[in-house]
Amino acid sequence: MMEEALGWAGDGLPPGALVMIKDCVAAKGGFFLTFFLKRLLVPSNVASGRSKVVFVGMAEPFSHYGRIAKKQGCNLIQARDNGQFVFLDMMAAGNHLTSERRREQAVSPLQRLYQIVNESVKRMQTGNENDRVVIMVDDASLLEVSAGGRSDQVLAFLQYCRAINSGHNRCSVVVLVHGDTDITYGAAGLDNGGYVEHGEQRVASLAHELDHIADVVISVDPLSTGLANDVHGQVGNPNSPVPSCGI
Amino acid sequence: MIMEDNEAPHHMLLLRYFMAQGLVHSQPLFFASPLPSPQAFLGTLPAIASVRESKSRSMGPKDSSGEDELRIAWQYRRYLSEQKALEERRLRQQELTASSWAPSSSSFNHASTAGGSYEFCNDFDMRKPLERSLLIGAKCESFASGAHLGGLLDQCKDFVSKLARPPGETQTVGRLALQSLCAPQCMQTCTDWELLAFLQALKGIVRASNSVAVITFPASLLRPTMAIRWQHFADILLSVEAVLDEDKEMAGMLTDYQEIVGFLRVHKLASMNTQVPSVPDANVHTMKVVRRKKLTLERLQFAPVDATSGDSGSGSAASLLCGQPANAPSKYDF
Repeated sequence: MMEEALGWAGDGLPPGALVMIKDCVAAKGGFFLTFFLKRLLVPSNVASGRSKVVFVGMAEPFSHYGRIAKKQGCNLIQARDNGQFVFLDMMAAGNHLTSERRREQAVSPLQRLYQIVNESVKRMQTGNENDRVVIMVDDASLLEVSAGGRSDQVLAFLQYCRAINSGHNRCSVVVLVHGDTDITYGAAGLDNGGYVEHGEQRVASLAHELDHIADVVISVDPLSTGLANDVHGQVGNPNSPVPSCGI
Repeated sequence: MIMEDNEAPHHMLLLRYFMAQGLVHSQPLFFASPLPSPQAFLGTLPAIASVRESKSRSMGPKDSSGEDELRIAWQYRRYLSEQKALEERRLRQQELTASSWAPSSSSFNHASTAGGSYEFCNDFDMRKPLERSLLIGAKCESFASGAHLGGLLDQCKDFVSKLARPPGETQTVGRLALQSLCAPQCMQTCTDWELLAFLQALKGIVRASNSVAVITFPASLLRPTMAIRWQHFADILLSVEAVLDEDKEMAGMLTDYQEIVGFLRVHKLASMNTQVPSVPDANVHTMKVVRRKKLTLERLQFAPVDATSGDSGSGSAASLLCGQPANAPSKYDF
């Protein structure tokens, strides 16, 4: 059903596409990343080609995704050994975004990360002109933290990633971002459902800006009636002919 | 992460229990606080409740003369004998495991050097301070004059690096307690984004080590966008709310209102290595200090509601307790 909602023909993501998954504190959207991983690394039919994935992991370690994917029938360790999957662990101490070495370099952290991603994509190329590479980011809000709040640097990074060529095709990008960091969203635990101070200027958030440039926007929200054991939230795609579905 | 309440420092109760539990069970502790002297705060940690008291409490009521303490309906008394048998079996198992329990050979094992070994428990007596010999293993850091995040992060890294043990040996679990991390004292020397970067780095350190970190922060002092970002960092997100001293409406809604000091709200639970979110049985727990001695957390228990009372107006106590959104159109929206 999700493939139908995304207009996914089954042969991988369209080249150069930007898929944005927008979640919030009450409803996490990380499960979509493992959904995409499985669909990309384990295609449902032989006719559809296999894509390769470069995963920028900033929110969870590799073991987290590996165990979840394994339960769903996708072996990330095997894919990594086969060169089909590259995991860039940005949580580990001494990573390229937070290490002392980074502070000494002249380039910004996201520039350095782009160089690493570009090198990873180049190393994955096998000479097949139909190769497709998908760059997945978990999550863009942490990229913004690494950039010191510069959302323009994050947008530039994502656009540059989309422009990386692999064979004849440009890379697709799947990015998770926290949509509730926008000033009008309510926050868990705060008194006001929506906070806008009188006279305060509204600053466009990263999620808002990505909303404009993304080809597909998937919104993960909690149920308006509260928590439930069987249904944890709802997923919406504003541009999809399929209405919102429960998850 | 625990979101603090501006009206009352109930988050300190939770921190005290977290830190005391670690020290009593020989788990290394790192405590950072905006207090000028965090070591003085360690003197307020509760001592473990006496074994005799804890055992007599766990045995349950011995006979029907204890029914003054019981607030259950008569039709449930038949289950008391089953509960009593279960408790006796549990105590027997604990005695067996205690006799075979051997203290860890860790260099942080100050409880065993003091001559005591304790079973893992949450039973503490807040009237008595923790033994001073158990406080030796705690490391404290104050950021009263501003938080130097680079140094603080290095101290956390150094702390967790000492927890590593070769495979085959008993692993040591470390506890990090960071109180009021975004307090004004902390924000003198760092920006919002630098604090977020610190949290990001700390999360990576904790996730890769045998340690757990409890961070309290006054969310109301942060900008809303920043407060939400802090909440996203948390694996487990709690908030503490104070209760008014004289709230007749609340007193009518809740049993044991006089003993309640605040509410503990569970916003998010950890979902590591799984994509299925954990739904807690109860989102809101009452915090009670029983006889000024023991902190207890209980699920909310409502008094029977009078069906003829009519509309109690918007923003009722029930709506607050059920976590109703502030701008909900109806009191039934929760």
